[in-house]
Amino acid sequence: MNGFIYLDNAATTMPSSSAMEAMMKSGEFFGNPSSLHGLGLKAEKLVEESRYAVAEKLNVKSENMLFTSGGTEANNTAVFGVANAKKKTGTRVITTKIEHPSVLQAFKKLETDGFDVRYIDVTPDGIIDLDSLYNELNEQTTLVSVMHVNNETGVIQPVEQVKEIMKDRAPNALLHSDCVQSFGKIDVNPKKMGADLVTVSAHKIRGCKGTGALYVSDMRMIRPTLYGGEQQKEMRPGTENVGGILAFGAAAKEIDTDNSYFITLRNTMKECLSDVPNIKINGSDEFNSGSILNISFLGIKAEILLHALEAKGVYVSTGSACSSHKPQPSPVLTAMGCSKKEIEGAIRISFDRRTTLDEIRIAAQIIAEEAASIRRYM
Amino acid sequence: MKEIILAKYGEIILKGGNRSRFENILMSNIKNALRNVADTKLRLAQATVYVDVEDENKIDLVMERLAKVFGIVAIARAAVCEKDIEEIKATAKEYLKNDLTDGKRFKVEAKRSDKKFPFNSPEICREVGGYLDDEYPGIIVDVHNPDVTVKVEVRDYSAYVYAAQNKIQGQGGMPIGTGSKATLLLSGGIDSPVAGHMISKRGVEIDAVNFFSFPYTSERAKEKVIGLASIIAQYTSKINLYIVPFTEIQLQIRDKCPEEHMTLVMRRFMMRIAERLAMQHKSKALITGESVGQVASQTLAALDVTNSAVDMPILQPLIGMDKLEIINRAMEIGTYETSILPYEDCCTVFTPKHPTTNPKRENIEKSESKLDTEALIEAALMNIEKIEVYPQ
Repeated sequence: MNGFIYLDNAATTMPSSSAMEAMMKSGEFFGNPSSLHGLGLKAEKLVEESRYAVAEKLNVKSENMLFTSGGTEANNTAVFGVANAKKKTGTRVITTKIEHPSVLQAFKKLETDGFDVRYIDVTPDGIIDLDSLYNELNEQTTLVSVMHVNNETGVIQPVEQVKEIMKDRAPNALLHSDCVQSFGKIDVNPKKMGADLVTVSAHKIRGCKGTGALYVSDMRMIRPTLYGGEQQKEMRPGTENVGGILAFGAAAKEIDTDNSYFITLRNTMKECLSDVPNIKINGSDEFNSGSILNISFLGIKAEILLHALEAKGVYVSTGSACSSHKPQPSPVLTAMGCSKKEIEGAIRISFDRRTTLDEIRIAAQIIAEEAASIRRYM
Repeated sequence: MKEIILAKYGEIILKGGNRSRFENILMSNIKNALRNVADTKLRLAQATVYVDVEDENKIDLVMERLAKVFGIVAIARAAVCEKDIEEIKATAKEYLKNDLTDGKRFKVEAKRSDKKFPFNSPEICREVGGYLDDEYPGIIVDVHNPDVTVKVEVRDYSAYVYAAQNKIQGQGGMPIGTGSKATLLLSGGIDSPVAGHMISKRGVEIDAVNFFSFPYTSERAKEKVIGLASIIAQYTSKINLYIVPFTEIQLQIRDKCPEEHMTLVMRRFMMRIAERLAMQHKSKALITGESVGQVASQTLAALDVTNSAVDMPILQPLIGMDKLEIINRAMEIGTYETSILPYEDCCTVFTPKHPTTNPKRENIEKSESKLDTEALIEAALMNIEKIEVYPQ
């Protein structure tokens, strides 16, 4: 796998060998976990072991974990599950302007369903504005959804403080946190955070695509979004994705909550690029997971830089899709008040624990060179 | 009941002494189009290709394919029966039972190419019409405004019965391969695929050339062009697509030529490279998707400057069409949805803010003289990637 430097780990990670091995195991123990015979029982046991492994890393009980088809389904289940179950007690629901689309679009849908939806602003540093949250919270609020680490900037959100304010202003509201980008980078502890629901995803922690999980502190709080089977206490029916779940369990066992190495990687990249003229780092350095560096090259279209880097074997991503037909500037950077130029020129560099400092130095040099050569023509 | 497909061709029959050559080409094109679709037997007689599909479940699929073969004007599925008037009546009754429902007005049209058949055409009409009228009391004879026209054709081997309303339209035009070859400048946009389709409809085989400016345009943009070529290939059976690396030329133009001339200098390079490729591959003309006045580079003055870079004839079938007409065509032939994918010329690096709309040859040539045209073209030609594109 040499010959390229992969710095798009916030999009997806390379599955670990133990995750792949676990996945393969589902070929041998192929029974349906719901079957009554021994083959089914074996599969069920393996699924439950994985559930336990993921739950343990979150410091919660495995009976509070639902496996889903990924982060998107988990987020949808949390948002619709709570909002619809508590519709009679109130219709105000609150989220932030920087959530992942699988949360943001779910809230947009709630809006059309007649809910009173509020979107919280962020500071230029990319941290949510707690004052405005305080003002929007009221007795009718049933749900607040705030992500843990932002997927474009790596900025850590003050979820614990959110819960504190909620206790004061809307004690009956539930807190959901999308922890897809924080799980495996920093400590994710729903109880400490005060989160009633937490979303995690397998393929961001070197598991496989197509599996995620939702922590729900009390299953009675939500309404299922799927119907049709008794699996997972009827909260998420459907035959389990055994292979993906086993890989998730194996990957979860290997995660770490110490992010100091991520910080080192991010700082090294920043330093190596510090001589490049007209750049801007987006998002707080102080409150950062370290796993993501969002950087704008003013006057460059990020997509061109991305493709130029790709040609040199360095894989990154853009925050926004640059296109003449459907211009969609990043809602995250827009919410942070970035200028049009900053948004157009923003690339996201995201790390893995196995990324080496040498790779960072080489990649930084290539980035600096390609940026300079593109700048000649723009 | 046995069914068969009748594919009728049009313009070829006007081709006098060349007719049999044209027919042979059409037959071979049909064979190619159906090769991976179904096992079929083909027979040609009296301006009709009889397509006998072994697996009758595949008749619809075969008709769909035939509807994309140039040269065929109409396609009908018909019941086949013995050349016996009683057989024909019974077949018509059974085969058209879903068409001849209560209240429908109908007439019968007959054609008899087998003159030994004991009934002439008006007699067949009378016989079959009278019979159907008796058998289906709810239907009404109406020879002027029928809802259903029952077609009876008595030919060399068999008789055929179908309802004219169930015919589908073919592409028309001339079979590919009857009109030598031309080279299409294929971008990712809406216009050029339509231009390619229109010229290939006249029987012209198509090569396509695309100019690729990585990293300024992405791999996905290239995939999109391949996708467009493969839609055109549904009509032409195969397209050779040549991808020309164009970044260096664009960067040099950007470096050395005045901004307002950039687009035209670039287009002249494209024309020259396409012409060289066309000569290498025995194409006789270039095809572009221009329409007068659509954009700055398509004013008559701009077209003059662009076209004067080459000697080869340039076919511009969209030249007098409005954008909406072109879009409608693109929708009909199936390229529109792919053309509007957002990857094409995603970043507008090489588009001047104020392009010249009334350029003069001398001025553009002067701008161009700052570049080593020949060396740049040679280098681009050296690194061409050839992709053989088949129907999707």
